[in-house]
Amino acid sequence: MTETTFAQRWAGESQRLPYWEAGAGETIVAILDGQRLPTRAHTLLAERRRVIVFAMTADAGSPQGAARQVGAAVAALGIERFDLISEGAGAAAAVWLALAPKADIGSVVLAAPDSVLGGPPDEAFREIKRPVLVLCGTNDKSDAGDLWRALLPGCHFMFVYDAGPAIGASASLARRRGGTRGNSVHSRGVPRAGARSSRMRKSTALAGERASGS
Amino acid sequence: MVMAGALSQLVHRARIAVLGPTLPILNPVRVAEEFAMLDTMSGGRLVAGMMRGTPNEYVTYNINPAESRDRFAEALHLIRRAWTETRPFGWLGRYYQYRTISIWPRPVQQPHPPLYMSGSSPEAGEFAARNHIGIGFAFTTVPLAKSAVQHYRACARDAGWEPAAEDVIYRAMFHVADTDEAAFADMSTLPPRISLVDQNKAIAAGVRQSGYYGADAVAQRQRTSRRELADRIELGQIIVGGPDTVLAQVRCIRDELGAGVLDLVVGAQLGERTLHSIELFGAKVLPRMREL
Repeated sequence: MTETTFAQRWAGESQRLPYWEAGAGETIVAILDGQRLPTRAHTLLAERRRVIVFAMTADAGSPQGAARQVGAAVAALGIERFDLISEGAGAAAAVWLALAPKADIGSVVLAAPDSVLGGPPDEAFREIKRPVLVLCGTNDKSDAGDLWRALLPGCHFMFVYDAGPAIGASASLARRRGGTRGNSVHSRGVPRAGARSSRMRKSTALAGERASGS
Repeated sequence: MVMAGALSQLVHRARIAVLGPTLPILNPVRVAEEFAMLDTMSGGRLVAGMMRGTPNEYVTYNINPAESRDRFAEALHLIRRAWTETRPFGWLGRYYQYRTISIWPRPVQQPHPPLYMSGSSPEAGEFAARNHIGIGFAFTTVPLAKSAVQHYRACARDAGWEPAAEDVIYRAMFHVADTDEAAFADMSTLPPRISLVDQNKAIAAGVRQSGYYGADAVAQRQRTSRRELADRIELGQIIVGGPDTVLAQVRCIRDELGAGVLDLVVGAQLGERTLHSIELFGAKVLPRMREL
């Protein structure tokens, strides 16, 4: 049986870059922002895929720096081909990583991407050749959805109904990011909506899985 | 929809209100597209009413009535997106999932046609107020509707806006004759009105247990209670009488509810007398309604 419990490990120069890994099979690399941890969505993905989760660290500097850091760590793990998922501020780093000429990336999912890019938008984003799925919550009042659709005109854009700006986040993080009732898939864990919440989490995870070509 | 499409080619100035599709049992993308087509065919005169439906419809279409409010809310949000998004999008919801939505045509009215929904229950009033949607009342009584309008207006104020008179629709059956006595006599010849909702007791009980009626179930079920003609008139459920009496009843509804739109349904299928009722209303009531 596949191990879906995430274990923390260390990568990069001096083994200072933390990452979490679970599952087996074709690889999905996830880039999260800040100090976020793997969520239930990643656990669901790990039932069928090998999932490696990186949290963007402050010392990475720019999104380009974060992309280089994650790219090097993935290469050091001996992974040649993978699909890519980002959440929040990880979006820009994910796109930069997907633009790297050496990266063999199947497809890219940007879940609830931030409207703050961490640098000026780059025309190179338009040149991305991989299929990109952008997921935005219907309760996300930011302009992130419009921004990313403009930056990636060839992307597939999908609304996640009744989700806020933290689609895959934990309830506490969703609240910290300004979420209210129903603002996050994970924040709807109240008894009345609990079953649906679970179904939704699975849908979100599977959307990522479909987009990643499995 | 078909009738509205035909009307759009015959009536050239009046707005055409479709009140309306039962959203939770329909494909919302299809509803968005058909309404957009109607708005285009009418040159931007469509008024779009969205209904939650009645329990018997849920049984017929095999949809769980306990899901009706959530299905309605999601479908309505989806339709608004379909009307207003300028680029194709997918939808990942609880009840609706679409890989790509890109309706054709887009509505003429921007950002979209005026929206109404049934507002009889507290939950519906709160949803309508929160989403800046007009409300309508049908098959209810003026006292029940008055309470619901007050709740809707209070919720709208909390949401930062003030509904106008035209944001409230009241639907009632009507029958006008030359005198009150003639009108009452006409209506007295009709068999008692049968509520489809309560016809099958087992279904009615099941729907009630499912939570379909929401927190205010007792009041909601009173709306369709069987009543004598005099009581129905007294409660504003039906407008019956000579022209002066009918005008007074209309004034009462306006004053009690602040409703800016009256949606009239022919109250009796009595051949020539029904046609005469419509003519009387047009000739002797409608012109004076403008002075109210």
